[in-house]
Amino acid sequence: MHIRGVAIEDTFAEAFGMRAARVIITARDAGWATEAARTMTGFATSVIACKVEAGIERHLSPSETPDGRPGVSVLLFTMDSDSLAKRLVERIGQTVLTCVTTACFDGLAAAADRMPIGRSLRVFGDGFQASKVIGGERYWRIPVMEGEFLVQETFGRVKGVGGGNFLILAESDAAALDAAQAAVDAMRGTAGVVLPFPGGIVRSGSKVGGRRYPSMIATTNDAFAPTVRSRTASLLPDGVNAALEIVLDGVDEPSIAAAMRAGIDAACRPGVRSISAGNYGGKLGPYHFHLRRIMDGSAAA
Amino acid sequence: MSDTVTLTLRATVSRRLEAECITPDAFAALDEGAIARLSLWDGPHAIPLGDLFQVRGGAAARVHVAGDLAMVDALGAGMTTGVLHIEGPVGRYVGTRMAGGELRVAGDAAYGAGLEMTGGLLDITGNAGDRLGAGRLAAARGMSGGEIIVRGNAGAEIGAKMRRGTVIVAGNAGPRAGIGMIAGNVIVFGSAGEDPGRFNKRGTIVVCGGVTVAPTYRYDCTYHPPHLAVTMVHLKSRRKFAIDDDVSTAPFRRYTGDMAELGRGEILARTDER
Repeated sequence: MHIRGVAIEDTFAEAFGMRAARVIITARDAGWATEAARTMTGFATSVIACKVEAGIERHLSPSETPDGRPGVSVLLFTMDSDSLAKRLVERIGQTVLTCVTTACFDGLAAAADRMPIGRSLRVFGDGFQASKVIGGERYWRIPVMEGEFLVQETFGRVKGVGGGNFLILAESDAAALDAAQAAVDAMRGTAGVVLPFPGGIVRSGSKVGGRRYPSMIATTNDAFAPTVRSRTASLLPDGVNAALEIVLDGVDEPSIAAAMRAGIDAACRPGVRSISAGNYGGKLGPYHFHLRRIMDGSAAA
Repeated sequence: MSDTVTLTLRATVSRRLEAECITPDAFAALDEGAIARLSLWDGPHAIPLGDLFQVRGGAAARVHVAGDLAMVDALGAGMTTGVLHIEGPVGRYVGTRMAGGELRVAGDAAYGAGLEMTGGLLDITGNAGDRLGAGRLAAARGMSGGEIIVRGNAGAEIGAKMRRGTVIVAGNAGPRAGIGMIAGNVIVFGSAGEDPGRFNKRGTIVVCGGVTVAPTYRYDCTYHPPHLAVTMVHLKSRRKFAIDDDVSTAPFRRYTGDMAELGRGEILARTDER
């Protein structure tokens, strides 16, 4: 299969089950909501070292938020249920509660599985906090020096999918970056999906474990590193001098497939030789995103 | 079986009657004939419902009642589910002790609407009388859940002794709003009569029009309460409640009280200060 001269390899991205939460941050203006969201999603690229993967899903207009102010929707992912609640309490407590004018709401109202986030954060109020039930939902009002921080008592938790990916193999580093940026632009704002790495792009794709350092959880993906092509079992085709990876987490398989389709299509531009994907032979992750099935529409999206 | 049970008043009601039997809960399990045999009460005397109303439909939890029911008390009392839509004014105690469902009154409601209500929605398009969402005079607590919306004005002592839930009045409220409140919310978009929030423990009283705050409250600050923004969005989007933009964005003066009681309640009074 080729798209505008770019080969779509017959392979698949292997992804894993995760637990996901959606947090709605609002503020007096979009700038402060974005500031809080960026701080909240900082150092949240990979669960390997960050304990959580997170990103901005999309910006919200005042008509889409619970308090009628501009907002940002953030998705957070962890490998297990318990740690998701811990990460939310830490991150909302340190990055949203502390940010001027913000309020924080659950974005998964239909989720039956609830985490007591506001109920945990309320104790910052040291007994001066108060709760209000509005429209059947309980909110905590925590007094702060600026006025009050409002946070919803519980947040929803759903099963999500982490580690969807594809690789852009290009003739030059510039061509790879241009294609990756085009892919990110096409994928950003897709409902239910975030790209947790800086700018949505990964240059340091990894493999499980290490050859020289067996105790490492992950080391460089030498099969796609052009500078060691002659010293390893390289998977880079001739003429490819740079590879970049797009990693995405989503609330379900169709969301990830839809985003991959948009991203791969946008990445098929001059200077790109092929699109590949990272997997472990299908033995580790239960979710397989076959590139050709996604692009020909035969995979659910 | 029909989607809706419709009751149409046959003649003017000139004597005060009690109609606790008119609830979606009761009608959901009964056919047309059985509904017509339910009892209304004229003092100690039972009157078949069918004598007063023409009944159409049965076995439905959606009930439509039409007519001037200003002399008919306790409509929808204790209802837990379904929809009761009353077209016309109603008497005392409409929706008293209701625990769920929706009770909509397209008209005025007299004394004690939503008295000791524990859940559901009571929506009154006209005016409401005294002790809306309150408790019986000797009761330890008033309303303890649910939501009451009055799109006109309300009488005295609304939300008296309320423990939980929300009372919203689009117009003005009479004297002693929220007297003896334990918790919950009273929101008045117009002005509040004298002495609001006396003996308030933890309740919130919001007044967007004029209010005179009792000396047993202490001024804290002028700010934008974030929970009110959520309340405004809730009312606009889910209750079709018209709210001016300048109310939604206005600052409020916060007073804590009643210091003659627990002192953890508040009065939030809208201000033009910036």
